[in-house]
Amino acid sequence: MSDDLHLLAAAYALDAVADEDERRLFEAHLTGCASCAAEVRGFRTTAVRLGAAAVRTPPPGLRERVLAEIREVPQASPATAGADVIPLRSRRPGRTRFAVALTAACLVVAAVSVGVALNAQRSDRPGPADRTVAAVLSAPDARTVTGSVTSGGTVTVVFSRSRGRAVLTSSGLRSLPTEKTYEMWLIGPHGVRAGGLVRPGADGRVRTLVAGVLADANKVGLTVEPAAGSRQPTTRPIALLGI
Amino acid sequence: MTGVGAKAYDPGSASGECPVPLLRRPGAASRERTSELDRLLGRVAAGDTAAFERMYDEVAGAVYGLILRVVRDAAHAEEVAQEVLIEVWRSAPRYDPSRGGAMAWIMTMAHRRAVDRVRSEQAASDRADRAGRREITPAHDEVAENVEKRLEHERVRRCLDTLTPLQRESITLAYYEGYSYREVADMVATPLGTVKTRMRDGLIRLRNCLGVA
Repeated sequence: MSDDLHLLAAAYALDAVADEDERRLFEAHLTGCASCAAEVRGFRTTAVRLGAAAVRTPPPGLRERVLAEIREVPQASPATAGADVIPLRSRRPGRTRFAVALTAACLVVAAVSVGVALNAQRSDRPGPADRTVAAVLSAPDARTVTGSVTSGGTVTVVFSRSRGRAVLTSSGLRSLPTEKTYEMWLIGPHGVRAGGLVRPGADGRVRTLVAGVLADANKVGLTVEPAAGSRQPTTRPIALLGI
Repeated sequence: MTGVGAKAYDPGSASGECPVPLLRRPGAASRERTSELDRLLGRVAAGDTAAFERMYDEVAGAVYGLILRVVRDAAHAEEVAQEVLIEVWRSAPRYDPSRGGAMAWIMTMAHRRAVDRVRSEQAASDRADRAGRREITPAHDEVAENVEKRLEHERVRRCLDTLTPLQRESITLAYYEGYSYREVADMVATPLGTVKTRMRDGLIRLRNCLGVA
């Protein structure tokens, strides 16, 4: 069953949303939902009180080491757009760090510059389709549902009745031979409509977010189709999510 | 459906009275200290190392204590605390006071780093072991902290006591142990939606009890 995207506010404020895609989807939602952002702020302040209550006397050598080290560490230049800079994982050994940077870069490509595939049309720069995705993610009535894919991986669908669209993202999808593609379907009482082609990168995450037209759909499905996509599904669904 | 959670959600009692009247009034002293901390951070942002020293004395105990609570190992905690405090110095010029205050900024950073450490570096068996000896309320520091910190500690403990055991469990597993809500759902064999609801209802109750605006 689907859950209200707002419901994630508490888990998010507790840093308990470990899945990066899910976190980014929620953050995208926050940018368009002022009441959610306010709720997250209140929850964070509450969490900080829990944190501060765990106060302990720090080890004696720490103060000296920190004070010595800051004299060597240059300060960052002020952020340009007032970004809330809370860096994660900045001190990893080289290779991990690179991998993390790479993953982050892929996600940024997926979530921010969203070259969205709408019915197989791919674009490299943000266009109307990107705005469609952003509108769904930030919709006040955005809901989310996650399901597993029989051939491996999971798909998450964020949908908004008010925006009339469903956005699909994935993780761990197996890569397909070049002559095949994943295709999203919106299934309702009046038939099945193509939602867009889903192309996972090497890491199994969708490279471009797909925003299918919701209409009266009550299920979202995923099938494997010929590379150009199909007008109607030609294989059995490998994922089927009720929305 | 989020049946169990939906039943557990009770907005009436969530916004109800706290057992101790004191709990609804965060002390004026703590508000003053917060703004003092903001002022110090402003000077730190301008490269003032003396201001950083004073700020260290204000926040290091909370930063170290929270990290120790999450990572459990004193040597690891010290290492992460050092990283965080240096990161505070490094990124102070990027701090935006409009986003919730200096203490929240620093503690959020500390918590994320600590959680990051337990998620990425501790072996699964290690985590299972930690789960075996979870505690519900923060441990008391034997070394006497000042009176205000003790009062705050007591306030938080009492407010945690106002939660249902299931709400308290999901919040403490997530915040003090660093488990994701999906892991919490697995551990307590409960649907994801129910765990999300418990966390939300519990935080609402805590927020009201602690008098967070």
